Amino acid sequence: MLRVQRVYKRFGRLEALKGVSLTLRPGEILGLLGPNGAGKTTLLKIILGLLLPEKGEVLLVEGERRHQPQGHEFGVLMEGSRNLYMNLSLLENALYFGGIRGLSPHSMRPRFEAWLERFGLMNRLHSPLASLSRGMQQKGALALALALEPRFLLLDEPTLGLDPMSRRELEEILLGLKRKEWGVLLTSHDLRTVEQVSDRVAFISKGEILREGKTRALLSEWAGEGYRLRLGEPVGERVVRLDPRFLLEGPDRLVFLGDWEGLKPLLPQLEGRVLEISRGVPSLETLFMNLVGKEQGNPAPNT
Amino acid sequence: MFWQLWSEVILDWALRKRYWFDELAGLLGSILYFYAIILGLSNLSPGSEAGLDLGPLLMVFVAFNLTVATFQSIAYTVQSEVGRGTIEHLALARGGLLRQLLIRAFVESLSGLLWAFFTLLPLALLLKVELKPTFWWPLGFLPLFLSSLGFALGMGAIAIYFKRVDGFFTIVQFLFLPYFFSLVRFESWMVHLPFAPAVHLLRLSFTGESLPLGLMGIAFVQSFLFLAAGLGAMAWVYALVRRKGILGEY
Repeated sequence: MLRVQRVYKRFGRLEALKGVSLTLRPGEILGLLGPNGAGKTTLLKIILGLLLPEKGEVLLVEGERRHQPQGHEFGVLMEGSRNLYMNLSLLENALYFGGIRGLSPHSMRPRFEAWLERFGLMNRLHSPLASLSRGMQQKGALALALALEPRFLLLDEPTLGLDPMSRRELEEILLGLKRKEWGVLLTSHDLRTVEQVSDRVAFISKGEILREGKTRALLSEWAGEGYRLRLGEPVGERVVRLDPRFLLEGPDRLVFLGDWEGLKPLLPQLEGRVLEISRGVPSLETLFMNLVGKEQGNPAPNT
Repeated sequence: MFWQLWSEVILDWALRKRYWFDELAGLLGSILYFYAIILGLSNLSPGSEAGLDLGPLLMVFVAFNLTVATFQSIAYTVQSEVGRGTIEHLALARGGLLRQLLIRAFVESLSGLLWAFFTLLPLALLLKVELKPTFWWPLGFLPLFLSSLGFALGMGAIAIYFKRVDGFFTIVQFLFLPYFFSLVRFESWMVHLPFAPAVHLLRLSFTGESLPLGLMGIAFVQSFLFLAAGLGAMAWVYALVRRKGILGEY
């Protein structure tokens, strides 16, 4: 189990992390969600040992044994194009980065080719990375991180640049990793993917974990019984201020977190603009926007 | 560790193969550079080259090339990896960044040694210099290599903090050239100067001299001091940049 314990990190006057604690178990996918600058990448780098925290520690706990993890024990996908050498081919990259983590070409090559096959990139095995599209580069970097066969995989924005088909493929791959007892820490702004694959989610904002829990439990805890409302015209935040149980899901869409008896007296105040009411719970994106948005002083989304 | 070493060998080969034109031009440039110095001396003051002992001069030039290639290997690795944004992946190598940089410097120094041979051979033929390598020549090479590695780590520490260091390295290189050439006329008091005993030992190992044990001892002590200082500097700066969060910043 990977355990992050009360980690503090400061950059000058900026408190990037304020006592963050997390656990990641084998066979589990943890979604780390937060707005830009919330501290997600800082936390990932501290786990990898690329940043040293002021306080707190990161531990790998295996039964009675606990130790500070080394960077090579993780499979990593960094955000952006910072994962591979642009002037080398996919294969050369894989053999090099596998090699510096102590893996022989004989073990690395078949694993890498198998993942590349799954991503439909085998015909580009010998192509220089610079000749590939952004999405292909991302798939290559993902294939490399997976081919290292780590027990823990840290993915920073893995869906960046991926087309919808590849995103779906990645979701299936991630779900498959759970069966292999890999632990995956996933940060992404693609909340649909996070909702699809993660067992637990942690919301981070301004260096603090706001909420953490099982994805389904959080959704139902927030939602319980809920209703979706489609309105005839955009309503803005005025309606949300009517009652804290309203969440704005779009310009003309609301979610009400509560039962029918709670909603019924509020309907007249919507001044007859309700076109449609259906039972439903909010998406992870709605929860994220409302939870983190409030924390950021931006209480509701407008999309 | 074997596969880490192997990876660096393959990377070095892949890059040299891909940029073969630049490699050849660099080799030719190195030969022409030294030849131009000798040609310049003979044209500016005719007869002056006759007073020069070209054998030691050539060996010192080779030592200079080796030292510069080694010290640049780590520093330029850091600079280019930071520029490409891959330094953090290098830091995830088994054993960490410091070990991987040392392995890369070792591999690049071996390439440098091969390149030095390709520089030395045509120059020796061109200038009709007769070299007499002794059986102990690896002992003549080792202290210079270790000293260079220590110095390289120190330069790497500067690069890992300041990121772009070309200007500074040009200054160091220009200081090194006259310094190394002043070691051609080696005198006993020079034995305590940095690199001097190692350079002189390398020169003796290729001019058919017997192994001077005292000089070798001093050269090794100095090289280990260089190495320890370089390792210390690199480890300290590496911890500093990780505390400040500027490892991957360019």
